[in-house]
Amino acid sequence: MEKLSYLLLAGLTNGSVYGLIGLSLSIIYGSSRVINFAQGDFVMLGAMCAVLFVGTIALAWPVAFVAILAVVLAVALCLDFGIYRPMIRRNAPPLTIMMGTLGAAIVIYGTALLAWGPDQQFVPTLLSLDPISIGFLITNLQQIAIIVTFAVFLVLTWYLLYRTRFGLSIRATGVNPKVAVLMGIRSERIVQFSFVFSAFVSCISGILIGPLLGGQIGMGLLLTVKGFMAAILGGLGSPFAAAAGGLAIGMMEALMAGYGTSLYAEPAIFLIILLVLFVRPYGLLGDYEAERR
Amino acid sequence: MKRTPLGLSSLPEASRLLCSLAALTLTFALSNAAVAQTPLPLKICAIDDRSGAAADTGIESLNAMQMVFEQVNAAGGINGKKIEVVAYDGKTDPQLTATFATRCAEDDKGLMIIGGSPTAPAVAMVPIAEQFKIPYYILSASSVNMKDAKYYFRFGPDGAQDGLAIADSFAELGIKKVSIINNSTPFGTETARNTIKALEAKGIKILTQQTYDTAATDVAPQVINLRQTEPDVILVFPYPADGARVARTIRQLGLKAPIVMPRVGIMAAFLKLAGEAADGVLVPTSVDMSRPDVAKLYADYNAKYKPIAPSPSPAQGWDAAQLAVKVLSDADVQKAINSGNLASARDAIRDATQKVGKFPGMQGQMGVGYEFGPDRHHGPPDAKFFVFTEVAEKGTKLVTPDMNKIKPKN
Repeated sequence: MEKLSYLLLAGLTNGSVYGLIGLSLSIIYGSSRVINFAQGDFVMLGAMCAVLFVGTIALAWPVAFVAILAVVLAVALCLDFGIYRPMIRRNAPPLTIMMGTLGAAIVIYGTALLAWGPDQQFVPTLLSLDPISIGFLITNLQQIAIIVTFAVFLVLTWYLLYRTRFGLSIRATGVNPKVAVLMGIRSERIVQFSFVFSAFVSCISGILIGPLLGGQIGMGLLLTVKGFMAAILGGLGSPFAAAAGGLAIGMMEALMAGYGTSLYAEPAIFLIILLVLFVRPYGLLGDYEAERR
Repeated sequence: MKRTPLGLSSLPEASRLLCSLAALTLTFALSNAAVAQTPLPLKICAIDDRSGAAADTGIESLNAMQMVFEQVNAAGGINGKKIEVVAYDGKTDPQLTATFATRCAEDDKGLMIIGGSPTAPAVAMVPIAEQFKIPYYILSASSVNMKDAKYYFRFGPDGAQDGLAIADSFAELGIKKVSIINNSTPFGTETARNTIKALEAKGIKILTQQTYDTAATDVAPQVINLRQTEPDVILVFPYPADGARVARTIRQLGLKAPIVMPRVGIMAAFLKLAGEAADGVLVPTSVDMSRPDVAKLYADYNAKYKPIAPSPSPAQGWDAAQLAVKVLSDADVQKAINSGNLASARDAIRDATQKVGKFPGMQGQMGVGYEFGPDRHHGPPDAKFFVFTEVAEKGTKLVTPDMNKIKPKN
């Protein structure tokens, strides 16, 4: 029982990380049909800006938090104004825009290399990494914060999408941007919001994950891959499906490492994802995307 | 009387054409001879990871190489010619690294390549070295297969040598049960596999082997499995950042067994990220800081660049550069370089490296050096190449450990 509890906690922690990135990817995809390959770089910027503002400049956390958000949101706006809008105005298909985001990811990586260098950095902790006990489980506040943040963003996204008129506009833009425009919705603004909101989610993730993973300018790539896997497994069209996909991958990893062979956990998980996609090509909870088509 | 000017115009058409052709051929032959005899520049390509996951290794080894080449160039170079270094950052990307190796061989006309610390990109340069017949000094890359090596040589120990050194020490200390945790990179899996083989050959039991993904925020599932086995020692084969996570989780979950972490345990990034959790970690390393010459190298390095923990990378870079200087100074190599024939020069460098035999370096215990030969392209010997060091004071100090304290109680 103790072992299972630890495995579930680890699955929940890792799953929350993948889920947060899957959620961010899906928010942009939902409004623009574009996979943002620079998503993981928002996570990296969150972690590395924490190194800069808290570690190097030694700002107090509240001030540093605002500064980190300002940098990441500015980069998100650059992505919208510099890549998405010019391309969409020239009727570029989503695949071309995706290539644009890949280019942006490389530019962000290069700029980060100039700013922080290639070394792995210690990311200041928002909360303590000292062990704490919850019953018989030993964990730390930073890990709990990741799980809580994931839950908060899930509720926030649900509320925004399904309980506000603005959310209705976001969903309408996702279904058909041209019709949405005819209905008076400013779809470019909706996409801009999705870039900013998803960057916000990723930035917070970076601040929380950074102290555990270590800050390094290349950390975005691996996380984008995991987030993308989560979104594909859950169902790309819905942020909640992508988040569920992240949780599923985290749990599978933990249970396979705990009870099976950890050496083959990764290929086994890819195989399971493949089998799921054979049966449900739009992902486990991909009904929204299937219906849209 | 009108004088006819002397010159080609005075000759018949066919003779004129013949003369022009002869002059053209002579000019072409002379210019070719001039080109062929232009001595080649002493160009060495340094290709390694300097901004990816193993950036520390590539940066530190290049810095140490530059220390050697700067000294040589300041003293007038080799026979009056200065060594030029063309540095490329392969970013732990095998494809990019291979492209740079090709660029070095074809476009830069490099005499040799030095680099290749992480295994995957180091392996990617091997076919390029063999195809273009360009000597390639591999710095670390423990998993590169050296069996069919013709043009490449290695300075770092292979994965099996780490394993042998660990197995010998453990057997000597009476350790019977070991649990292993490694990441899923080629370094993690290969070194773990080789170490398991060496430990089992000594009759040491492997209780469990756990593998994790470097992107996993929480490695508790694997560490829980370690905890259930109650080992005498835990062996960890990570990269720096995930190594810190593993060390922290092991301490967090209350495991008291000593941690042995080859290579990575003394890397700056690991020490910084692990902090207090790094204390007590034992590291078998090829850098013996009790040697005065090694201590001086690291003191000089720290004075010139950013201070670092004594990881093997500067020693490997220093030794590879020293051997390159020795080989480039060889009479046959100089003759080939002065002839201007790139292929001959590269072959001569390969041959001279094979002729080196024993070569003292900054790795290994005092009096133990590399050994290269026609059938021996892997330099480090099996015996006395490693010493143990212990991390102390929140990762800020390395001390000589009392190995008796890791002896099993019963």
